[in-house]
Amino acid sequence: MKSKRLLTIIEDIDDKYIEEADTVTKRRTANRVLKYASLAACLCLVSVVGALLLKNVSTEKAPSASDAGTENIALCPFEATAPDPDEDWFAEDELHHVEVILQGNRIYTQLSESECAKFTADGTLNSADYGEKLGTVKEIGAWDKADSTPCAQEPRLAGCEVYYYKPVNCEGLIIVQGNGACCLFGFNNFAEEGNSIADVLKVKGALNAEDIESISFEIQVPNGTLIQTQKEGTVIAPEKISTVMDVITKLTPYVRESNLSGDPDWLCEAREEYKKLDKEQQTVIFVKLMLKNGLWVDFEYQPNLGSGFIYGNRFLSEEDNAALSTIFN
Amino acid sequence: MDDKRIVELYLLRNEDAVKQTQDKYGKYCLNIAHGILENREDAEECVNEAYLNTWNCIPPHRPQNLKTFVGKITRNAALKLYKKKSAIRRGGGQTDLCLEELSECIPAKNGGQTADDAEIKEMLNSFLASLSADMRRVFVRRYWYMGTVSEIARMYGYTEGKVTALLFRCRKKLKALLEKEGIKI
Repeated sequence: MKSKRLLTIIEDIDDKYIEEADTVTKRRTANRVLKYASLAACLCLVSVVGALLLKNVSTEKAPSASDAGTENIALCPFEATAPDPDEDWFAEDELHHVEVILQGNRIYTQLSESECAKFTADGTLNSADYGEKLGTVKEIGAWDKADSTPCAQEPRLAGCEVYYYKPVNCEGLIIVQGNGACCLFGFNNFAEEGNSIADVLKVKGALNAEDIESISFEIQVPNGTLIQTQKEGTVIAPEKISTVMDVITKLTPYVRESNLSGDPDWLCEAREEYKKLDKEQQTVIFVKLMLKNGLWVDFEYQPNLGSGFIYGNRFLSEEDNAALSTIFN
Repeated sequence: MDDKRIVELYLLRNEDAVKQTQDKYGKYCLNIAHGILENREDAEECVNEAYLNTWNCIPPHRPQNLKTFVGKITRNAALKLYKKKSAIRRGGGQTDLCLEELSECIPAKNGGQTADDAEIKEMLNSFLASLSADMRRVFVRRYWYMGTVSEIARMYGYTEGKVTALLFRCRKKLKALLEKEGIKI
């Protein structure tokens, strides 16, 4: 009865939140991006030639940040403008993704103001924040994995300059500025499936266990149609962090046959078996690696699915699963 | 046609206003209604009722945001129809699941005076403002649009597990806020 009242009153929440949930800057997933594979194939010949030419361009030394007049640049987020040419889930027009694709494969999405504040205390950028210049954003209609120029679907990003954000000392954060706006964009995902957690860690600057500050985790178990937290914790012991890093950097990602195919048979079969387990055994552990540079990497770990499963990867070996589950238990 | 012009048509009692609303927000409303009712015919019936209600509401109302205005009317009509239907056929739908999930947010020992709708609405808005954009979108998508976890996951490019976890954290935060503010539902 009380929840009915709550559900009814939710109707009157502020319009801006209703709009926000309907016109989002979607995180492009590998599935979605793969839709463009056929287009990319058609453009393959042109792209290869283009990529070779652009590779030459990208090796040229970028102008320094101070030359570009980048002192005390206030962070001012980009707003999406034109409707997305993709048909979305609700078959409604929606706004462009505010994201930049780098080197045809890495997707960076704009950080919120609160996320930016974690990296820039006063909300401004100075010349010391500017790392290597990566190029000027080119507007694209469809994803082309062979194109190494920074590109984006959102027209307001076209012509903006892209630099690595130097203080994090990795490729996990970039600065995008121009057209009256400037914001930090964080590495979100690879455009294609088949990249490992080790690849993600590398982009974010975690090359070994010493780069990890701590690991937080939350163990959840199903409870009817709901889930409940069984345990939460943080791992700070260096040897445990080292074990986690050893295990996850060994993982092999799997690639589905196409975006239309579901999960592979071996995974579906394992899930059928998993469903037969007691609810207490159907644990999902949400793991978040906090990096010393302020970035993080998270993943879902199901110790009792197959011989231990981390989303997007083949099963763990039994030894690795035992080592990992011990740390979180 | 832009929303201002459509609202003007309503104010002028020009029936083309309904046609324009239908053209522009028909699919949006149908998806809201379908998310609650999970039945195409019921959803269409409900959306037609929403158009009529919109016609009756403008004037006196003059909405600043026609999309959410007609969306709210649709949601309200769909929940009413859902209530009517669920008296006959219980269980299974997303709305039941949403209700069950939201019951998690209600503090067990909830003393004091029952808050009025305006207080709860204000609390909900400040709760939403306190969430990260990702959590907020997922929360609104689930409990305003009544989207399924898999729909939300597909929409935002998350795994279903992540959506479930985000929703769980949202509910936990909401419960903590209700307890802290001593708001009785």
